[in-house]
Amino acid sequence: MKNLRKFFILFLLLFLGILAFAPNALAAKELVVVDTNSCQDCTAVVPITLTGGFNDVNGIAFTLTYDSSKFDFVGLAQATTAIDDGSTYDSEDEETWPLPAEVESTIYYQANVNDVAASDIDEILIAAAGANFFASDTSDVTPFRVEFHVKAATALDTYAIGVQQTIIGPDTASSAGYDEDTLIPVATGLAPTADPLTETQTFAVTLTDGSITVSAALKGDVSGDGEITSQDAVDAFYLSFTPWDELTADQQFRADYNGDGQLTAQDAVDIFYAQF
Amino acid sequence: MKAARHLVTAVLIIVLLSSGIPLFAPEDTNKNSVIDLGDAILSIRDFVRSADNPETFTSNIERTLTTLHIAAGMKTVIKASRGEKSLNSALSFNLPYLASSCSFFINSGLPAEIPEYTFQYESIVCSTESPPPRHGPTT
Repeated sequence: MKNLRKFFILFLLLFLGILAFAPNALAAKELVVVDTNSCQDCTAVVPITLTGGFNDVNGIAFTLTYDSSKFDFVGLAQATTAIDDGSTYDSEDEETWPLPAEVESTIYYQANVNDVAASDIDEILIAAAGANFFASDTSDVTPFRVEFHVKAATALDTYAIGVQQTIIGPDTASSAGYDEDTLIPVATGLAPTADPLTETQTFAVTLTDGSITVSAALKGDVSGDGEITSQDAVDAFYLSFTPWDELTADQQFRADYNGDGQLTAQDAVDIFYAQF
Repeated sequence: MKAARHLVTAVLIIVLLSSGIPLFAPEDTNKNSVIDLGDAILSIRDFVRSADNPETFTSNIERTLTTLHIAAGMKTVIKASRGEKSLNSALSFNLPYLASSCSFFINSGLPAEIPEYTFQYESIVCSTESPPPRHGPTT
């Protein structure tokens, strides 16, 4: 009877342990378009963050939707990993060729704007892949940022930046080998040592929309008093010791003067010079 | 007549044999009949191995970018023609064309002033040194 009670308690503890840790263990992969702030006639930098463990993924494809009457797509910007769309290499000049180590650690991408007829909502079709996995462990990773130019006439408001699965087609399906319009997987993985003819692994990914809030806030005006002063530079310097994720969207926008998605002492220096 | 029969037989054999040969697009690296991210990943791996090899570097980067281009919903094949420098049309300032000798701004988000000395050709003079005559010659 005593043994049975011990067994029951052990079973209960095991059950509670599974309940506590299961959500982390079974966390679904998610592609998040991060909410961001911007001002009129400014560049809005929208991070694309991958959560839930992308340490077995080395290719992603997705489509962003945005209001082209409010924003112009500028391009993709590097976050932590080097990215390249191949536009800078010169086939005739070996000096411009990357080294094998650079190629191995670079994410190659293509981003195409699809001007949707009879609609202000245009699409950006993005495909990116690298030789290595996007992350070395299950921590979140931001492979790149998407830059938009906020048009000067854009009203102060919050605008959705949608994300959806890319559809190959209608006129491109056959060139990609498909018989009809096809939704292509968002995430694909292939182990670095896998045989070339090995089937790739595809993963279900939850897609989370983001937004750009266009506000009258002045970049560099950390204190929010409407002008850039030395005090703003000092405030930005102190804020640079706070992890980026713990800053409010407003603080990120005002203090990240160079818009690189990081708050460093360089931003404080830039704000200091901006007052002149 | 006999020669024609041999010719027809040869053609028939070639057709029968070739019908069994699977045909793959150059971008279909893993030979699964569709072009997808798996092909892009494998192309990049080939690219890593060939990055210091002039013979295959160009073809491998073109194949990688074309595969990604198709995976990004476009069917255009990217191929840099001989002698052309860039894949990006935005970087075509090195092409010869006539340009104003006045400095100007290009509105592409960030204003970029192009100083006149970067251009090789000058053909337009913005202001005349002396104004044109107001009236025609009197007779």
